[in-house]
Amino acid sequence: MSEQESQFILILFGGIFFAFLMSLFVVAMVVLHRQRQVQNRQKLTQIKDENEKTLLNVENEIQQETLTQIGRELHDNIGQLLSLAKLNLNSSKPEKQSEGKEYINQIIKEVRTLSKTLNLDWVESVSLDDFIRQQLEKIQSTGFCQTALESDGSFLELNKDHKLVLIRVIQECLNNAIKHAHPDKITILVSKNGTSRTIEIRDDGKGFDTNHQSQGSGMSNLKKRMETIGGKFSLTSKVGKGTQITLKLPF
Amino acid sequence: MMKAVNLDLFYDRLGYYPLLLVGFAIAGLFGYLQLSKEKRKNEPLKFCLEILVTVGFYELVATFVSSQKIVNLWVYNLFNAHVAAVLFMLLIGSFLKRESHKKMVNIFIVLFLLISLVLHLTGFVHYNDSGEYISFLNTVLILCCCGLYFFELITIDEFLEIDPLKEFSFWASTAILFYFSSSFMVYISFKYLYTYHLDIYYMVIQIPRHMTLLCNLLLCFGIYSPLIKDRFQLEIIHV
Repeated sequence: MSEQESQFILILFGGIFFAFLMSLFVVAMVVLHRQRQVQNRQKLTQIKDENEKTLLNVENEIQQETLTQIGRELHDNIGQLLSLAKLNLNSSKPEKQSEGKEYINQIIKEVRTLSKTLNLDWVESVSLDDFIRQQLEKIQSTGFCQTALESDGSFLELNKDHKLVLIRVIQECLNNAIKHAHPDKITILVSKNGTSRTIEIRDDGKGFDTNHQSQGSGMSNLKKRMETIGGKFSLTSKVGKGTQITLKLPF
Repeated sequence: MMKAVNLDLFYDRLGYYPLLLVGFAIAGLFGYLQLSKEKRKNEPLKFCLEILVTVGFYELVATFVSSQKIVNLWVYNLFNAHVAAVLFMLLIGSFLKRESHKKMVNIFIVLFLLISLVLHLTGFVHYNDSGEYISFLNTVLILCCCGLYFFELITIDEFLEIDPLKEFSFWASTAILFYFSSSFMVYISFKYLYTYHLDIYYMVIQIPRHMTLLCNLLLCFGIYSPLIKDRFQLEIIHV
């Protein structure tokens, strides 16, 4: 084989080897990209499953809360009304009987209202501002503490899932404030800025040291729940200076 | 007295290679003019056209200059090693998603032009030499730009939604990578081969020539892709 022929063969094989290496590189890039796509899809499915699970939990908790409330209403309100109706209807006096009938009407009204809260359709019909107002009125009516709501209506447009999670988180925050902080006043501020809307829940209660690790998983649960709807949960508190919880949700 | 222009030799030397490149440039220009105003603003398409026109133009000029018995290396040094190389870097830069990577490509370009200027001013390289050093430099930088693109392809979330095999940026980067890496050895051994192994030189010079044709064909196809999509509702490749 002449020198020229051997050089030709060297260049030819060198070229083939080089082309093979380059092709291998590009194929490897495509394979790596595909693998990342698959991993990403699995991750997305996992996040979706977790979100669905969280929503289901939230719905269950709200239903549980509603059932407790219904039990209380049946015992404290409807039970009392039924006793009064029975007493009045048993009387021979016509005015007492008509009073008994009025009680029956009132009971029917109360039962209708209660039955509406049994499924979660009320979530769609009530605005978040109305819900917060109802919750604060309930707290104030018990004489536990003063309450205030300042809202610019930023959360009037919400889908059902977002509303469910926010309702549950707000309920939980208020329950915590009542249970642990013993405040004189609870204030809720609803506002917005350019990119997000915010709910601030402030109390002037005992407060706590945020550096101290809590035993329970309440706060991390609330944080996770806000994350499932693309929101953020943050908390600031100092001993003796109350607590401020901020719930942020992008538009 | 002015030397007469030898057009006969010029026509003789117009082989399939410069003619095809000029054809791609004209086809690219025609396709680009058919695009809607919005599509014409698409950066990669603009750079594709600029590359096609530049390559077609300098090949024609180089053929003309050589037909007048004048050394035409300055044409390749100026247009191929500088203008086209910078346009290729800008094209890859337009495919990148991260601002930091885009900045890096711009730094590469400035660095390349500065080094080239210094090398020319100091007399280390001449505008009419075989241009090994400049070719080495621009090829390394273009390969780095391709590396940035492939790095983004496998690391950035925005690329997760796309199918790379249907993406123009992927095929263009692959073609540029193949073109410059396969031409690399030829360009830097240009002087040696031309001086000592002329037959091998003529053999290996076909590699960058055919890679240029392939690359320009792909860029031309990239310009026509939005037109095909609009006319036939068929997206062969996404630009």
